[in-house]
Amino acid sequence: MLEIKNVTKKFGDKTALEDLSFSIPDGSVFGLIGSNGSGKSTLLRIISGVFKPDGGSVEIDGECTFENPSAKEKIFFISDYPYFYNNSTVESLVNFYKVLYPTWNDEKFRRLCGMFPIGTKDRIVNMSKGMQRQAALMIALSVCPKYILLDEIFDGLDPVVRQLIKKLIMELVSENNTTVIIASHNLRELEDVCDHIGLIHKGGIVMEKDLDEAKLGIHRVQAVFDNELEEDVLNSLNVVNIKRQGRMMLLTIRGDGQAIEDTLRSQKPVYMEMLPLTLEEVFISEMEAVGYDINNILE
Amino acid sequence: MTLTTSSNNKNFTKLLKWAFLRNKSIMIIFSVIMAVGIIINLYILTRLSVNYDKPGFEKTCGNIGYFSIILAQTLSILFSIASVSQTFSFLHNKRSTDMFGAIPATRSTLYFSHLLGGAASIALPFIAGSLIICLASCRSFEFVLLNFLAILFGLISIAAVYSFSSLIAYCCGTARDMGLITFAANAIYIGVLAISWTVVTLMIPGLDFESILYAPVLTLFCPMGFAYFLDIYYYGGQTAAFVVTIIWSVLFTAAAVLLGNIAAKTRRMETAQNEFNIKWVPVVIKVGMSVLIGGFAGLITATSFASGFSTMYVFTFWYILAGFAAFIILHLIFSKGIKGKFLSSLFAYIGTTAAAIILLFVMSTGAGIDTYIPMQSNISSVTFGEQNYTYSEPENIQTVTEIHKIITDGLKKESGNQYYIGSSTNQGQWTREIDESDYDKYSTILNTPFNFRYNKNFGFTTTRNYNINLYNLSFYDSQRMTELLLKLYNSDEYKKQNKAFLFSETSHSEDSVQLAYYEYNGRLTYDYEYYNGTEDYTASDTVELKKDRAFLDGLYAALREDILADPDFFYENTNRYYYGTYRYFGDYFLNLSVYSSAGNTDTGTYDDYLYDVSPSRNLVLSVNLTKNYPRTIAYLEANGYKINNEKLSKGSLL
Repeated sequence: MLEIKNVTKKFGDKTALEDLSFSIPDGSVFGLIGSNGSGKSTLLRIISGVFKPDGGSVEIDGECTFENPSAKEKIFFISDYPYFYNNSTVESLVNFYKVLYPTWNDEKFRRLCGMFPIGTKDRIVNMSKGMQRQAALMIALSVCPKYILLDEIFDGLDPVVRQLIKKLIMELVSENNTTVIIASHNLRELEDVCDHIGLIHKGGIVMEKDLDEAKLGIHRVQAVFDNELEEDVLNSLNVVNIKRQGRMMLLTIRGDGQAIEDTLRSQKPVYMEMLPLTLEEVFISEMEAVGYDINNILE
Repeated sequence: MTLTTSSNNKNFTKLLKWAFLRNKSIMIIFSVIMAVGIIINLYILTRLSVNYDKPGFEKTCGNIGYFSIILAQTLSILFSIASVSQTFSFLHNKRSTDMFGAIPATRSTLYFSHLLGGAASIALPFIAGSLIICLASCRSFEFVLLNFLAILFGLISIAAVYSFSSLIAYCCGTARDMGLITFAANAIYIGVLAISWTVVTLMIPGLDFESILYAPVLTLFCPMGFAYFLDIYYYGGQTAAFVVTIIWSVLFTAAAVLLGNIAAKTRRMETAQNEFNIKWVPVVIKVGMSVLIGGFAGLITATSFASGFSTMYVFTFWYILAGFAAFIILHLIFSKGIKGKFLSSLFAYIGTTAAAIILLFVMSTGAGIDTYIPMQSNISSVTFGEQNYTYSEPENIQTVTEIHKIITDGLKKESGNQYYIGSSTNQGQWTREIDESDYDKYSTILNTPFNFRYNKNFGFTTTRNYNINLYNLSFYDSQRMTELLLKLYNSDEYKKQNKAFLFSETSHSEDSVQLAYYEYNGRLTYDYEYYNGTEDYTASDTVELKKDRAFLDGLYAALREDILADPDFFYENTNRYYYGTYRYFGDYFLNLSVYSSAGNTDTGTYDDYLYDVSPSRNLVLSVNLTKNYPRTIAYLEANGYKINNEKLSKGSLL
């Protein structure tokens, strides 16, 4: 269990994270999403022990991660731009990490070498951005950590490798009960792999729940009514957004799907359909709710 | 717990190796330069080896080795800073900060492993190269010890520079700032000290560079200078300064390591590629640089455009103006605009500037430094005056302190308790035209260098060098001064040092022993203002004495007795151009000279090195025999050498 307890982090006068609290159960794949500069990468750095929080703490299995090697042995962090020294090769990284992490698995590494098209003796800095990420991921997966933190891991990867990575992540979770935390703006990929979602905005948690629950908690309804919907009906629903196209209304409503459908059908719509929401739409809807939408930005 | 400890140790070892290998390129460059140095060293030694049977060979080779190692010390210091920049680069790059911050090791483990691994990458080539130089160069224990100590000093310096630079690395956000601040911190300290000391020496008479050279304060915050100062202090026999610097360098290194560990634990990793982790570091550098620039501007303007006490005001004005301008410019550079810690920096600058100005005006009173003479009980010996001989007899020490007091009393009287920039070199009242009769009478004073070097208990040293002319005989007690100087110059200690050949315990080796009359040739070549470079006496009737060992030992024994009993030794046996030779000796005097190819003309002692440099014979003893040398005269006559009593000097001048 990874517990984030009242974590606050400030960079000078700016507050990157403010009193952030939530927990991630073991064996889950947690998608950390949020606007640019919301504090996703900062949170990953705090979890991995790179940054010291100004307040609160991060605990894994009851142990604080900061300055605690025994806790950090269970965590592997791949940052948004993995760092490699000029003369690093995959082989030299293996030599470095296999001593530092007691859970290192040589057999797994050999298997991964067969999967990724990367020469273990080649200088990593000469590789493409995508291949560098693959190299970092090979190391991370071979460590077999209990917690793996991936920052923008899908960036620069081709669709096939993205699929491979998602498969390997799922395999790691099923084999090791590893907890995976992925911070990304690529919500389409997250939707495939994540079972939990955390939405951060301006250093605070906007939403943290099971992905399905998140999706089920917000609904889009396309409907045509003979008459304008009464104010009372709209007020009885937790409407996040209304868009009109002629008589066609597109409503984004938070709440129980069945109750929403019942309420709207009671208004005798000419046409009504409950549309499924993608994670991206959930994200946009949730962000609109906290005032982060394109109209506000354009204003 | 055991598992964790074992894992930590394993990680420490791994990181240490990693840090060591990270410096591979620097280590290779350093080793190649060391190897080139070794080849040059061996080439020079091979060229010199044709003189292997000469007595100076050992010393020459030993010194070549010693100075080669001092050169290696310089290289090791520069490479240490480059290595720190490389080793701790993970602190100055956001991406590598992520990598190293996330690995399962405490920040202390990271710090110590990188510190040791990085320092070892410089220390090992230094030790290996220096040992080869030492083994190739040194042929005597004395030089092996000297070279080994130079290696030790180099290692002390590497440790101090490495730990200090590492501390700075943790305080800075970028490698550029780290390098700049490491150099600036050392340079600012020495620079501020140099400017301050120059101002003080220009104000208070007697102080000069030598007065501070042996003060360990020089090395206080200058780790880059530790090795050099240890070399200087050990080579110069400055025991106290040496011991204090050794202790301080160890304490400094320990403190830097301790503070480095604290900085490592508390570092805000987000400062990588960004700002200073410790906010007061740039403040110190800004204030230090401003004080340095202000002080320099003040010093130049005060000495160029002012005189008298107004130099103090000119200095203060430019010190504030140039210093403040420098402060603003530096703040703009560091902060990229007027923002951030401007006010706190400004207060620090104002406070430092105000303190410096107050100190300047306190120093204008002399602050007790102008009249300071060590207490006799604290003085183990004193080096002073003619020939810079050293005196350790209490009576002689008292004589020297009394001479010193006459000087300080006179200076105090002249300054009127108010010194200013330039007052130490402007003792106008001490100088005046002097007539010839006074010159003869006071030639002892007028030709004595008033340089005092007190060797105090526990190896401490106090020096005062007065660059003044004491021509105004009425301005001080010149009669008493002459008495004291003659008392000192006729003391046994003076005589024994002046005729070191006779009084040293080494066995003698003479090429030639000559007895000659010197006859006045009618040209009085010296008076106090004129010397035409010609001899006023011509040697005649030169006799080569037999070089029989027993005879010469007897001659030397008689000479020793006569010299110690000679009340006019100083006039008879010092530089005759200075002390009115003709007026003292008249038309003739008898001289005994000993020449040795293994001797030192200046000191009368043997010096192996000279044999190598100048294998020609050197004058090692010259004694003018007067009626004050009855035992020697009698001994020579008893051994068959007829002495013409008519040609012995009259033996009195004054």
